[in-house]
Amino acid sequence: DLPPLSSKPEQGRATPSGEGDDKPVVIDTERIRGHHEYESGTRSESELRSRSTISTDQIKKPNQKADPAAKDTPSAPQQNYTLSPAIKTDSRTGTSAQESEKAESMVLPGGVERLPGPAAEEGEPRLRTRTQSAPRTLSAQKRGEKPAKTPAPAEADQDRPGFAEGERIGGHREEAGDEKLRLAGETEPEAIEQKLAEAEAETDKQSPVFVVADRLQGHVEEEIEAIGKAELSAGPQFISAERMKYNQGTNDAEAQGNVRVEKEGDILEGSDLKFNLLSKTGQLSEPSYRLKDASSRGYAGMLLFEGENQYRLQKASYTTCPVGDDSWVLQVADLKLDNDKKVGTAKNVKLTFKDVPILYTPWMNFSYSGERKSGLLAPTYGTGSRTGLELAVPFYWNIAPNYDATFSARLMSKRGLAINNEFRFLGQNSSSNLLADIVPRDLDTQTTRWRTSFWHNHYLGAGFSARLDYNRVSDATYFRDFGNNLNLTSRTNLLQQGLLSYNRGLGDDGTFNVTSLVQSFQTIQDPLAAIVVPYKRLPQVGLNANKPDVFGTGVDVNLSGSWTNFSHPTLVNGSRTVLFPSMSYPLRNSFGFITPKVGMHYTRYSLGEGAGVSEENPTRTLPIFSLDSGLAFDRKMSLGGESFTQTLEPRVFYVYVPFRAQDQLPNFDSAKTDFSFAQMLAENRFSGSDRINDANQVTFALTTRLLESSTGRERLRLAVGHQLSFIDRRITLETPQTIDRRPDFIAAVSGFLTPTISTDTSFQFDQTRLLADVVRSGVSYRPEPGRVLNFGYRFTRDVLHQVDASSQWRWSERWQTVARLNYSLQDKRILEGLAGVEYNACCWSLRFVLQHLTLATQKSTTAAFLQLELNGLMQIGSNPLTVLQRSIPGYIRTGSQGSGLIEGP
Amino acid sequence: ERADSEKPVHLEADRATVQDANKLATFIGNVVLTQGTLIIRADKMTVKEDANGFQYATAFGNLASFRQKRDGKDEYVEGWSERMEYDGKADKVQLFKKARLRRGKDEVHGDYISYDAVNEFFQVNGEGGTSTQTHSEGRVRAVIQPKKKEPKPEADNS
Amino acid sequence: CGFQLRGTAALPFDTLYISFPQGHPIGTDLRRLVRASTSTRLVDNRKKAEAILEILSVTNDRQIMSVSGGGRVLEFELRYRVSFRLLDAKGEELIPTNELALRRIMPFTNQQVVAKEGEEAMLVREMQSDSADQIVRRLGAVKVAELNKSPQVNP
Repeated sequence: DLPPLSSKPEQGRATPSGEGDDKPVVIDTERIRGHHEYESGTRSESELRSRSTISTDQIKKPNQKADPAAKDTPSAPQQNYTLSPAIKTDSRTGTSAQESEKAESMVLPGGVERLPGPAAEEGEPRLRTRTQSAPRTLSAQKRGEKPAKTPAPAEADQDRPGFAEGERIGGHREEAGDEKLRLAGETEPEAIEQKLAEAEAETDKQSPVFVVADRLQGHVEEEIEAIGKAELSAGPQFISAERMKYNQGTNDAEAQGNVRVEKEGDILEGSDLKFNLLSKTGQLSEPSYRLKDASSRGYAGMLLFEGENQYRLQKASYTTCPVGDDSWVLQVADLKLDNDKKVGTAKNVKLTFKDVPILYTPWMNFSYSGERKSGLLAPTYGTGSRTGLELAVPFYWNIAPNYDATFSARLMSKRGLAINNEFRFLGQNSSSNLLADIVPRDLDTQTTRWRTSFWHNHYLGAGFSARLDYNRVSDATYFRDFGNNLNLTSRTNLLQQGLLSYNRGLGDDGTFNVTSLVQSFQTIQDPLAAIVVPYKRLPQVGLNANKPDVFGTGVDVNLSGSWTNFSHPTLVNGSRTVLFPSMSYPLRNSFGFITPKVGMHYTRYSLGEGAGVSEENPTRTLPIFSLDSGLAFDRKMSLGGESFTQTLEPRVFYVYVPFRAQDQLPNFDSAKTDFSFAQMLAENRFSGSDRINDANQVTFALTTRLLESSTGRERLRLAVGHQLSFIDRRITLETPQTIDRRPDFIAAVSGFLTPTISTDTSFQFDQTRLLADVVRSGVSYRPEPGRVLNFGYRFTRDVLHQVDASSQWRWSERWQTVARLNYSLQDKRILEGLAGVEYNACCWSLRFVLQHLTLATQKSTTAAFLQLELNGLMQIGSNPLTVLQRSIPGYIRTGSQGSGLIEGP
Repeated sequence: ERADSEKPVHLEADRATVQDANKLATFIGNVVLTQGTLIIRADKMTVKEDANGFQYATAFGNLASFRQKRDGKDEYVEGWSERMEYDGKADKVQLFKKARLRRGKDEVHGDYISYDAVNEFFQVNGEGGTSTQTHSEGRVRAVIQPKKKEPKPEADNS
Repeated sequence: CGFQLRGTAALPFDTLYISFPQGHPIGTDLRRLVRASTSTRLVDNRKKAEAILEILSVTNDRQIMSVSGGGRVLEFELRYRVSFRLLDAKGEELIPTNELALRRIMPFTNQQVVAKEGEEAMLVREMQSDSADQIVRRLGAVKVAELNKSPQVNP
């Protein structure tokens, strides 16, 4: 078992402040991927750090019936297409890039590159190991996956702390549902075997052939000729033509005269056909086709059937626009459509949009399945106020199914060339990710600038696991110059940490954990708002043991302790030993509980000289006593016709901690915590172990919840809390002269006020002055997908005072607007502004988004994203999706109704 | 079988009238004609014999039927129709109206079917009606069972 | 006003097996909660249980909530998501797969990055016990009309 997440003060992951890592995209455009599908499903760029664990039970049982279809990102599948690695066809792609550049002059250059930040998104790129059951639907990215054999302890599970996650290079699509890297090189196991099995079965009991015509003739058991409106159907295959000949021996069918072939929704028409019903091979001349899955259609010189569900079109046109609307058409010399994998591979491609050629490429492949296959994209371009005009040309190198690399060359008018590289590896019990970006010579600063981040997670077996997280950047303004989203630009402390942890269970529910780590930060300062560099922990060894109901006595015993050596360039250095054994005796029944708890907190410092401290080894020992109790009342009620159970849960929490002078003690890792429901029912209002507050206080809390009777789901919750201190507290962290004023009354409401309006609001008051210290209020109105309106008001005295409004509104089938405004009343400036419009035609959509972002005290950047999406084929330009998902809570990517990715046009 | 045409023809019926002058015999009432492996059953049948002894029979029935073993295979070809004409010399059967021919599980339906047993060639026509015929009547249908997969090299389609 | 003390939360099944991501503390919370506040007995063998609570995934992550005038993070939004489902002995879904999402806001200052880890852990711990609470309440609300109590015959 694992240590209870909570009791371990240090979770073995440092959270560098300003840690923000989102989907790194070179030009903030979708992900570049090579032939190999390299999945980097992420739900939203904004998820800074995700820690997801999969129930191994669920992994062990591959025959999981229903895929845990937790509400998936409702983003409709998007297509992206893959361009051949530019290395091979450098000259051609180069030209094609220029051509597309030139040809695209009418499409304004838009989109600002986003420096690849660490990609600690939810469904971070998932390399699948052999033991892992491949989730049936690729789009089941919702839950993070990790190699099944890695029962990493909660802290060391797959997510990567802080900045250190390896970001992705280039415009990797963040949409969930991409193909995954597979371990140990074999193909998709189950799917292939299953298909072969079906194939065998099929040919054995091949379905009978039915022929209908005006006239028939032929030799028994050899061939049969049908003349006059002949129709042949064999299993799912249906062929009709003027004349037809079917040879029973060889299973060949030939047809002439407006031939029409139908199979599972695909309709192919042509002049004459040769087709073998058994091997599903043959050819159809001058075909016009309509494919159901790809909802695509077009004409061709020749259509070759190359086996079950494999078509190859020569000199073909391809589009997903409905008949009569040729907004975009792909002219292809050779197009191979694999209807099983739902992948199209095209050679010598010319793409015209509204009859304007916008792209030539020698080779490309694209996915038209429900789940998007990632692919190497066309070169992407964008602008940024700090990088100027830029163009990114991505390469993708698929070394092995579980090992790949992505390089991207990025030409910036103001900064010159940047090479972004990323390597990913998935082992049986380990996975790692290396990112290295280098700007050989920044035109602006005439210096070489680089940035690297390495992340490795390893389960060593027998409860041991290790993790390494190293990030470094060449200079303090790297992110502000090359990054364009908040997660990158707000980064201040870059985590550099190594961690080794050991976990095991103690009997039934007990846990035992030892974690040792070495942690330091590279602090990149905003010159106008410099901060004190955080302490380094070189090393810290933490122990945590918890045994409930020891020897059946009902007493829970908990021991947490740590030895840490803190070092700091300027502040006092020294080591600290903390031991905090505690016992609690929980008495619980259905309607209430009383839990007395007593603990002894012992701390001993050994400080280096010159610490300006009287004693070299100050110690502090103080008992901590708390009594927690609560009751629960229920009643049935109905509201607006719905039946609810309303609960009323009073709670009383008393804490007594004697005063111990601590102003002589150094402060390595203690800080004031926000007065929240969680904190007010805890013993120490300071985090860390350097300051233990003196307390003789009682906290009253009253929570009432509205539970839906049918499902038990919590519809609405209101809670109030008040902390009454019988003493005036003398331990403070502020400089002495500021009185230790702290809010002591909190009220909060969260949940659905009406089926479409939900809120999450909390107030913190200082009882004595009846002044609100903290107000955090958010209201969102979501009548239907694609229509959301959010308002936010956030106030913390002397810290922040902001209003925040965002919306996504679909006005009609065609038009949709997005907007966000985050205005700081305190600084009188816009922290983040965003406005965008999206036009959805039935088979293509155009998105334009303008974003204004505060980068540093006097620095801000404006970015424009312009993206043309050809449904079922690809996207060109910079992808605003990740920005929208981060900026507008509840944003749903709504494909145009005609996108027909799933259903037909 | 090919050898059938050399075989003697046996005929049974409830009643029969013979007109020797033009070698025409008419049989009425569950008529059975057998010649080698060929068996024709009908309600009424007229049989003519030509100069060198070949028999030509015309059978009528509420679905007269015929059955003949295929040459060199222990399989039978069967046919049903309202009117049936059998040419002993050419070993050819023509079925008119509600014609159905079956070999193993393969079947063809139509208004006229001609089956030449010697080279096993069959022809099936609809009523010859105009193309406006709805799908069912006037159209011919065939059901062909997939052959048991004999191991033969991958047939390259022509 | 109609409130009475909550009776023993009678879950509609006598034995329950809880499966959760290996070592994740939410499992301990759930087991303790079921043992303390319900009359249902926890079994360790999936096949002997009348009902199986499957915690499919537990995800917690962090997102920038607000930034300062200088573009530095002032508040993080911590999100805790548990997706779970309840099966009966035959494997039929009594509660279909669904996700419970909770969020808390944590103020942040860059200097105290080390200290803020402790606060974050405390908030995550609180969300964890809150979600365990809500899950057990969801179990109580299961309608048991067609619950087939016999343990799974086929393994």
